[in-house]
Amino acid sequence: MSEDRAADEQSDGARVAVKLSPDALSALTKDILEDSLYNIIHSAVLSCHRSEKMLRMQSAATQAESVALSTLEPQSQLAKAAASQPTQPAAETAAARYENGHVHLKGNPLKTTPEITCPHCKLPRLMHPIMGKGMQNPDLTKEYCMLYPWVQRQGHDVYGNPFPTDMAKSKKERELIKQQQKNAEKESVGTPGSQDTDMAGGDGSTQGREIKLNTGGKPASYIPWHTCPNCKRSLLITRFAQHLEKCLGISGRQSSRNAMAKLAGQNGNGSGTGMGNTPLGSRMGTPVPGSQGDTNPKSKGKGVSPVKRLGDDDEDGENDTPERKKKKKSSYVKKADREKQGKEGGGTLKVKLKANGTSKEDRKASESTERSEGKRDREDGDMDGAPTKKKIKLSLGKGDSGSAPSGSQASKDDAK
Amino acid sequence: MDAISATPKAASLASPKVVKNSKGAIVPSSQMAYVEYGCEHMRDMMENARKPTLHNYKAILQDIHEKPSVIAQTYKSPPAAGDGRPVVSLRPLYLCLQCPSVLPEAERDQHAEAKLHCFSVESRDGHIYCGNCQDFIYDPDLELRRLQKGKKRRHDDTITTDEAKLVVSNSTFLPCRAIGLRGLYNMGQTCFMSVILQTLIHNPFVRNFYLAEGHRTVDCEKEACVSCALDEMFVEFHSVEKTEGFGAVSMLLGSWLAAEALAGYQQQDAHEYMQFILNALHLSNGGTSKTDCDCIVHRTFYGKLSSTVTCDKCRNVTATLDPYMDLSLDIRNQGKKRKAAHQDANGDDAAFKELDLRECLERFTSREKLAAAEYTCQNCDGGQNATKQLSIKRLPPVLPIHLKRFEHTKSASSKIETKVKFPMKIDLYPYTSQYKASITKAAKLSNPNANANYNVNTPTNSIQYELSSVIVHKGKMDSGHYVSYSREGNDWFLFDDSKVVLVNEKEVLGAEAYLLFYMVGSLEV
Repeated sequence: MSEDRAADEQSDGARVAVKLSPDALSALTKDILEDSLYNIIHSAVLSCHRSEKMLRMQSAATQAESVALSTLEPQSQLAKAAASQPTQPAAETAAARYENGHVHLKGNPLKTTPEITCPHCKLPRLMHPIMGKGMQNPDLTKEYCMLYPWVQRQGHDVYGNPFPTDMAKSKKERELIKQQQKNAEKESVGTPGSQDTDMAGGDGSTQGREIKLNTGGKPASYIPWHTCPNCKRSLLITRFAQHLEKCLGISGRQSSRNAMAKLAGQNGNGSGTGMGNTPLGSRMGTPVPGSQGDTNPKSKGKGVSPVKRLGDDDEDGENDTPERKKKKKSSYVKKADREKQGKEGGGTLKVKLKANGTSKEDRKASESTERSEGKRDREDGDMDGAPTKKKIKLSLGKGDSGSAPSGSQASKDDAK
Repeated sequence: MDAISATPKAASLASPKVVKNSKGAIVPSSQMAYVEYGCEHMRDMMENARKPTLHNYKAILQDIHEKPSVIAQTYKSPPAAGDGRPVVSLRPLYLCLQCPSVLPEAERDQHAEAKLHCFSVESRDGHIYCGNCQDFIYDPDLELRRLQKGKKRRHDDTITTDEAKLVVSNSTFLPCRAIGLRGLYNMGQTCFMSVILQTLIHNPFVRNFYLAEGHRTVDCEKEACVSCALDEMFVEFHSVEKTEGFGAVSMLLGSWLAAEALAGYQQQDAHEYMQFILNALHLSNGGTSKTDCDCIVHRTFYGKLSSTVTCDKCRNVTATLDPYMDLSLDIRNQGKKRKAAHQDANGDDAAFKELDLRECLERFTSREKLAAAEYTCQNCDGGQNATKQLSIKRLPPVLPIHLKRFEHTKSASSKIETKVKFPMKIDLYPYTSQYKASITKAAKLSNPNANANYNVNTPTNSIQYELSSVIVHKGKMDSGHYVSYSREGNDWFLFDDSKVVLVNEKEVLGAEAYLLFYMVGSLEV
């Protein structure tokens, strides 16, 4: 056998190697290989055996304890009433014996304890994932420990929640969903529109009924809101960094780059060209209109007049470079003026329509922040089609360097 | 899997609810029932002969782990079948717990029956086999000793009954699901932050520190404290029955306020952020500027690198010790040298596109020639050619390894996309100062195995580290995305912003790693 060979090898090694027959080496190699594979499998199996058996040992103990304590309950109350010594709890299950706080196994827990009981909540654990790879429909009449086996399913996380889809969606798609959502129902914040069918489908595979199995997460379209610790405004979490940059008045390297460009060129448009050079610039271009949007709907949501809003923006702008502040301010004045006119009925048709729309929403809105977000999106969307678009874009989005050299704003900048 | 936490703070978050079992009886929730003995037979054994059993088991464990392996792997062939001569086996053998017999698997049960010696110890890991159960058993007491490899615990953490009562009365039930597996929402190019945070959250040393109230937000007076923000995350991740992502808003705010260079709506380098956050956590957890600071960050990540420079002329050695929090390894192709070596071997061009982590570490700690212009010898008083060598003087419990994928030259920055293979387990001994010193000594004595103990289970010259986290940068230089992998127990999870996915080891090992975290395999306590 292999053991003999190994011994041979040792003794031979000590003496002379000549005694080995020509086949010995190949036989020896084969034996060593086989033994090595055996050892690898042995330790892999043993480590799995260990974790499974220990889980069941624990479960047997937990079950025995639960039985003991459930029978103890009325007795101890009696004992308390009698104010005498409490009775020692004792119980016996098929797998273990519970005596006075000590649990002793009976038999092999791998045989006696098929079910795993959570040692913390004392409820049985689900043995199979609730969906995806290896799923099995559990007995839904029972209550289970919330720590489910991990789900492995395409497009779902370990709990079985669908991946958030909204992040990747464009503004228009999000808008569409919000619209559908609004049409569908009017109350809760995170209830999804079209995504919901997806979610229901996922649950449906696990019985479809309204049962206790739950993944604990949110539908795919859900994005949480968070209050900015700095300005106390409520924002979509996905926009947070963008907002915070403006809110704290730090613009990182970009601001210094802008400043450098400004110093070098003594020209307002310099910053624009500077951005054009780097790939970052193209991404940096977006925050500006976004942040403006962030400030706007909120104040509108609160029902603040355009004049008040103007003041807000001034505060916001204080941290910015004078150049920027000036620009921003001027644009806001224009916009505010326009809206004021719109409300007074003196604006363009487009603007008027928008104003109507928003006020309607305000009335409808139950969760003002949520609605205002949707409103902002639409507002931006409307503006895309509005005749005034170019002007605004240019004055706000510095990234759009020279994309629209028409309009008075541009010439003003050039003059600076 | 610490679903029970004794922290009052966590208690205030989770509603202190009473747990009832199916029959409606109140269950003491903060108490875990456990079995006393591995099986009925072990119970008899321990109740009747506890001392000799423990003594024998300890002796066997020491044989297995300290003596040359050939001792535990040799048995006498049975007189009936053979001539009773000793036989060495590669497969596990069984050492009887009650007598000095060593038996192969085939004779194990026979011995138990014939001599009524029911227990035997498996010769590779020290697992106990019960002949009556016909199965391996895991006795709590003996298992503790097995994991200590027969050594004495230096620090006993025995809890007195008073302390146990205190724990029971001060802890609340926490949801079983809250085991720290949650995603982090991308707040707009913040994935560089998320991956580092996930790695910290799944670092057992850091986690234990925070879950044991290492940093109390109540007592912290710092504004926008990064440590408080991390504490908030730990509490949230380990006490709330939510499975969706988490918005690390206060962490973002704290980081931005503390580090101007990292602030702003743009993608950052995860390695840079890690350096920042480790420093910030060091400062906010009672860190001192002394070299041996005992804050949690230093206890977990702090190591020392030895750098020796030997003058080629006078052989004068100057050694310096530098602290490190991570090892930055060069992964550039080694140009002509590598190429030549490989072409000699097989002339295969594809072969050297792939690097191995051990190769990088080898290169990092190899000798390096310094030109006379670069080095001034104090002895010779002038520029001299010299040999420089780096080696690890002190290893931290968690070793972060940074692969220099981003190359910055004056004109441009670029990403090196070389595939670097990395193992699940790594022996770091060959990169230590001790090893480097031993090979020079061994060369002098011409005895390469001077301090080997010939034990395959716990070889003396081996420091085993296990992979615990991997941070991956996907995509190009400045438009990429970070994701991370972390291990919880034996399961690997992918953290991609708010998504958490179970993955297999193959996927982890195939990832284009940027930062690797290796954790020490075992610690003596």
